[in-house]
Amino acid sequence: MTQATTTFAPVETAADGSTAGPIAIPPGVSMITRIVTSFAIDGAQVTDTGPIVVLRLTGTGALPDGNQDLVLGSLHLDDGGGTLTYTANKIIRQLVLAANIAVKAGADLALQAAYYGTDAGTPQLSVELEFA
Amino acid sequence: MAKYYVTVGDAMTQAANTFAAVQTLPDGGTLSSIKVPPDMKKISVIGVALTHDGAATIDTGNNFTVQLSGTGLVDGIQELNVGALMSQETGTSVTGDLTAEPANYRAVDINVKPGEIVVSAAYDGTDPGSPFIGITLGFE
Repeated sequence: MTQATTTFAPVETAADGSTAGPIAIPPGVSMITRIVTSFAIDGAQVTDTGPIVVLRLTGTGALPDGNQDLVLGSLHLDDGGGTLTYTANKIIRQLVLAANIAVKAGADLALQAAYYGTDAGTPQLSVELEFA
Repeated sequence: MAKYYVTVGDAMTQAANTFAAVQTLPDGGTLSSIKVPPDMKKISVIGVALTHDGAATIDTGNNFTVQLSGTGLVDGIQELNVGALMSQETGTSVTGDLTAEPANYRAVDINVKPGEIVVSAAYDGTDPGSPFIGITLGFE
């Protein structure tokens, strides 16, 4: 996520590195029943920043109930007012969210993400969608 | 399980124990009130992410409350505990601290009707700086 604060940008790289673009909603499904996500700063996080990341589901004709915006979680790196040297490691558990979001099979579903707060660096976001 | 999600967020620059509107959309727009989506009967889930977006004031601890008000609520104003933030330090800037937390999604059962919902938030305790809150309402 290299964009400025409160700006949506596409999330469209597949796990194998290919550009997936919008997701073709599989035939025979009608709902997104689960959303699983995690994110981390891939690089040095700007100190004293704390972004809150938001996922948007969108796409023409893909969502009968319209765009959906969901808050995913927060980060914070705090070194107070000091000039410090430290190493910080974090194992981050994913958000697992049950949902009941109507979708239209065959339409293209686009994922976008934005963040609130001060630019913290480059958050790396992963999203899994479960269709049924 | 909700089927329609709306998200707003804001820095909480107000004093302690003071509700202020949370009305910034993730794309930077302003949503001063949420219009209850057509055919939705309840809010069934509320998701909240909290953070300090800056250096937290040390030795502070704050509980956060979200308030829902407006004509779209069948049973009137609702106030919900949505978690806490805490910052502690011994000495002077002895280390840094890295925090990462998934949003907390909480099941609720709040009846809604056609109308508007205003989202506000407050915190107790000592002013920790400008905590940031992101709130998702899930309708069904």
